[in-house]
Amino acid sequence: MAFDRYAVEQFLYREARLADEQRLDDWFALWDEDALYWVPCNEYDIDPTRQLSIIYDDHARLRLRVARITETGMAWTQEPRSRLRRLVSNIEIYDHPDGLVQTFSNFHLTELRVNRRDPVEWIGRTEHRLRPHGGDFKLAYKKVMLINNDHEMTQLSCMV
Amino acid sequence: MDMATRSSLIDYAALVKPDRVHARVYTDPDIFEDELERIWYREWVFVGHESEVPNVGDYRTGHLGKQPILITRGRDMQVRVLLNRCTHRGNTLCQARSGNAPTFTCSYHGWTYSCEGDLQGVLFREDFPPDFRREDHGLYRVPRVEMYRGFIFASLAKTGKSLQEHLGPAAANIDRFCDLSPSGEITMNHGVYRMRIECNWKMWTENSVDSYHVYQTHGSNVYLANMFEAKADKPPPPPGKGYFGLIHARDLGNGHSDLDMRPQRRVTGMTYTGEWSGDIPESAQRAYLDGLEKLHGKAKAEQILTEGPAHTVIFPNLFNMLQEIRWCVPVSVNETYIYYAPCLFKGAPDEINIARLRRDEGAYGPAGFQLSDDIEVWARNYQGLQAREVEWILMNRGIHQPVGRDEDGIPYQSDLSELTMRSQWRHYLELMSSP
Repeated sequence: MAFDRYAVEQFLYREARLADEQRLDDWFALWDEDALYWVPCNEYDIDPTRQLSIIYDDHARLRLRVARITETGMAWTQEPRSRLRRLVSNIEIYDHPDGLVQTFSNFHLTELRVNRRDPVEWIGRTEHRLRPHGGDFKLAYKKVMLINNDHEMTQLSCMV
Repeated sequence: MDMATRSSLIDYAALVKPDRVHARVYTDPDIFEDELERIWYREWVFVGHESEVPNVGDYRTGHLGKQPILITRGRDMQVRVLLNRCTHRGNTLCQARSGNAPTFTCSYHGWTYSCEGDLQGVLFREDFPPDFRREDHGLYRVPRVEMYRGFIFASLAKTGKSLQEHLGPAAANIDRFCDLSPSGEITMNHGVYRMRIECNWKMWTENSVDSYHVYQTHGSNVYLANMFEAKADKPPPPPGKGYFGLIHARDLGNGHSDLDMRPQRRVTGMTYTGEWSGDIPESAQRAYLDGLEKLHGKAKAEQILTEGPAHTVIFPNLFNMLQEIRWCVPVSVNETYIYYAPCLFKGAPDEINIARLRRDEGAYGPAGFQLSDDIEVWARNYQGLQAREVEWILMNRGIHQPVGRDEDGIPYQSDLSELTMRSQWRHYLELMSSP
């Protein structure tokens, strides 16, 4: 095995924690310049050149997604911020071509909004591709397969 | 209480005034039920697009008001809208969102129907009375189904005005949307955003032609545009309201309305292709233009590009804008499903269609930079109406100003007027007060 399982898991947990705590600038710093943050719509495996995605962010658009929340003060979905906490588990790790480490994991994220009684639950399976970088990793690719991506859902403004 | 009795108890004229509406029209469950009868189960309602069922046996499930429907393509190539309800004991037949099936079999007792809705198979048929005829028990066919440029509308009323009469001048807006395709055809089978919003359906219909909300609800986008997308070679917008106020808010009749961008575009010089980013290669742009000119001729093609897509609400539930077809389905007085589907140009270079998808994703999904805030603001709109000591919702912006007539004779005001919403309410009052 070309990867250190402990270090890979630590990265996934750190990514999750930064997103949960809405430390979005730190979260954004995890991503590499060629990143793709992808949340497919309707199905888990689609052709993004012919089918719609919920999120299909390159690095530039992801920067806007974060800045909208952290800098404008007018992203009403996150004014005030949701309270978030997620569990990440069932981690499987593989070697991936081009020297990347590929992981699959499950998550269960609970989102509480100040003006709602009931929480929103986001549940899905995530594929990460990590690029080794100075003893740590950069996030090159993250695909989130929400189990409700074909259901009538509310707005998604936290980072899944 | 039957519907006629219930309706006669509600004095709609006391709730819908020329310049305001009472909060009850959004919050009263009796009014919601009344609307199902008088609007959703009577008027023309948008249900889907022909391109969702291109082949024999294709189907898509959905709702007409609250009633479950099946849109199918029969062996005769006809598009039908059937009620997704077994005629035996009432179960829904088909559970999938969409697919292809020559027949539908009920999971309860096994009654089987063709994709045209005919009852084909009845298990142990000999135990039914001798006068039982399969022909009497086909799926309920929605009596009136008509298409315009592939947009499928259905009406549960057996008689009434034609779709063309219903659409009136709004049909030309659908033309502008489809004519941008180099084949003249768009396809709406590239996925759909399915969303649930915590408000009454009419708040969605109103908001779709509300130019005034853009400044504040979508303020984050204005901010981002200034922060990241300021282009040095572009002249700054006029001071004050910028380019807002140049758009015409038009009353298209029958509750339909639009935000007509053409007067604004005449000032800014913006065209449909001018909105493309540099990501679309020259060759693709050329191929697109060639296709458009071949279909329409050079002059008409130029007009189509200059005018761009329309921004239209067709009452009660269709909203057609930019690259999307959007529609709503009422769930209950305080819950609405909305569906936003990107439409691609049949026969256009891939790069252009990909750009349409990416544009949708940036702004209009549940995680889009605009729609996510709309969803939150609609919920706050509904939450606020629980403060029932304050009874009225204001609809009076611009009402003191003159109403103009544009070159097509269509009444309009500046887009910062609430004329579009007032035109919806005027039509609503007619529908809800008619016998």
